[in-house]
Amino acid sequence: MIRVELTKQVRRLRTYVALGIVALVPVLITIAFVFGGHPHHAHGEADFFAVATRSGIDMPLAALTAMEGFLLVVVVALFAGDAVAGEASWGTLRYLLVRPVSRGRLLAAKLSVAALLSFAATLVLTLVALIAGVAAFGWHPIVTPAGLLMSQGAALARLGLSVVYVSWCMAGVVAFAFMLSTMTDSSFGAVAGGVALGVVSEILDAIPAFDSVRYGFPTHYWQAWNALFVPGTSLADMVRGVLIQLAYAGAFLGIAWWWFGRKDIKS
Amino acid sequence: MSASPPPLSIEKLTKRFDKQVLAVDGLDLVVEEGQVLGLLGPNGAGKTTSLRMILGLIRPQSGRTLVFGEEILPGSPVLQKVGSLVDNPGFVPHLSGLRNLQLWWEAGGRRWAQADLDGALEVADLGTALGRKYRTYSHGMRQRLGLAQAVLGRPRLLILDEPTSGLDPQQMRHIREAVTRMARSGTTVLLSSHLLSEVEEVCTHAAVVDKGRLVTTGSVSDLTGTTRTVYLEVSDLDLARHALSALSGVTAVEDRPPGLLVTLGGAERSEVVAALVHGGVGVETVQARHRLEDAFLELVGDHSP
Ligand SMILES: Nc1ncnc2c1ncn2[C@@H]1O[C@H](COP(=O)(O)OP(=O)(O)OP(=O)(O)O)[C@@H](O)[C@H]1O
Ligand SMILES: [Mg+2]
Repeated sequence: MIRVELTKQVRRLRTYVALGIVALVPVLITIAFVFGGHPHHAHGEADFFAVATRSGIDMPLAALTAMEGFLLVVVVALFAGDAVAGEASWGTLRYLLVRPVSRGRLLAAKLSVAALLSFAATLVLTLVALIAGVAAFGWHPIVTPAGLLMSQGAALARLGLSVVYVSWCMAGVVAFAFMLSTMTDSSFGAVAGGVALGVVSEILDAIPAFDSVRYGFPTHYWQAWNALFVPGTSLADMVRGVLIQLAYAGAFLGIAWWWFGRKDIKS
Repeated sequence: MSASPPPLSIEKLTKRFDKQVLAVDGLDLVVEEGQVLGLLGPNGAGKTTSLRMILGLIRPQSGRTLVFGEEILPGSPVLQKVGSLVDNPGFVPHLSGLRNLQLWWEAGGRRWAQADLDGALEVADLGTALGRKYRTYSHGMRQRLGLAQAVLGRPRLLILDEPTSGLDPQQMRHIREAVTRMARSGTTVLLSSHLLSEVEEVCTHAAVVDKGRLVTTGSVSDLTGTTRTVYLEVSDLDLARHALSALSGVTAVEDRPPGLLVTLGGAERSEVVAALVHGGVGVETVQARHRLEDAFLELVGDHSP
């Protein structure tokens, strides 16, 4: 069933457009750095942009930082929000359900494909940035934002871990968009809802008045993977980030399963 | 030993969408093996809602559906024996007709080799268009592909919701012939329609529904065999009423502008006409109606066949 669902998505122009954009942006960022010369330290705090030209391996880290907050959110919300609502708008949902297949199994297959594509998006973004970065700035030990040198091997291992972490950070958004997808026949609404969750959470996270509750926002620990590149820092925030996503995903998916199991299919 | 359970048995099925809309209201219906039963009703009668409940897509508020003796719940195993076309066909637009059939089949957890592809392709009659994207299909092609999907699993019960709606006469004939072929090969069929002529042509049995309730049911030959009412258009209505009131074999005379609807209780049509002519009334139109027409035309408010 997963294979069938995957076939439907993989043979779809939209999937390529989404992944294409995710691949294109790192290339554009790289080109900007090649022609834009060395970045200035606009803010007091250094980040991966500040060091992006020092080694090609810095580039995927800069790209993850740049795209995690919005573009990646849009793409994963697209995959998840369209999963069930898309079938409803095609009129195919009822035909998937008039057979001896449990609704839970259908959801599981749909969710697996959405998760797989979301992970693919993060992976594509990172790999393209890595290739473009190395082509432009070479295969050197990376310079971390704090100014430390890190060997290529160590950096790549941490990059791999970052990709997994960033992908997992999308779990809350994916689960939310997926939940909406089971409730509405409009995939646009479900996608927009997923994007809204990410964006609203980020905005609120930046407001000082929310100091006491922001640790519970789904986006709060999204950048926690930066700690991997600061030797000696605690990874406790990453662990918290993983657990928070688990809580959100569990809650949203629980509602999705419960709702879809008893829903009247009128589409 | 009890006889094997009927392909479909609906007991007191009720569905209320919100406080105002009672879509299906205590519907009872049995479809026996080999029947082609037409569910006949005007727009909004609750046909689609009933068929969706039968397929486990919509939960009834009360009542239940048994298919071959097994209760229908979402995803019931017995749905394996059922083929369906609900409302419109639904396919993935960016895939070809053939690939759509295959993916749909495989998503049900069965091997493609087990599907009755030959039978389905005969129904679809799409030729090389089968390899084209579904998006490019005309309405008739879509409908045929939908019916092909419904018969892919050699269903023992076929449920079709207005399978000919929106089709031109030739396409209609194609679909009707396909249904008749399926029925001859032993498939039990429940099909909904708002076309009286379609039900008379295709079905062995009919059930007329309105406002979610069963109005009348029976075999098509019974329902169409006896003439119970006659619709008349005459030169002088008052004179005609007077002449008819004197006739003992007439049980009721109702106004059906521009004419009259006469219910016969023993009198023959010819006697009625003779009495009118004798009374000096000019008779312009005489239409005999059988029970199915009575029941159905009364509902849709149409008084000419
Ligand atoms: N999703 C829904 N929400 C609210 N009311 C609905 C819904 N679907 C159907 N209804 C109402 O239920 C009643 C029965 O509708 P249904 O679609 O079953 O009729 P139908 O016999 O199939 O009509 P048609 O010939 O137009 O297809 C109608 O009054 C309709 O307005
Ligand atoms: Mg209908």
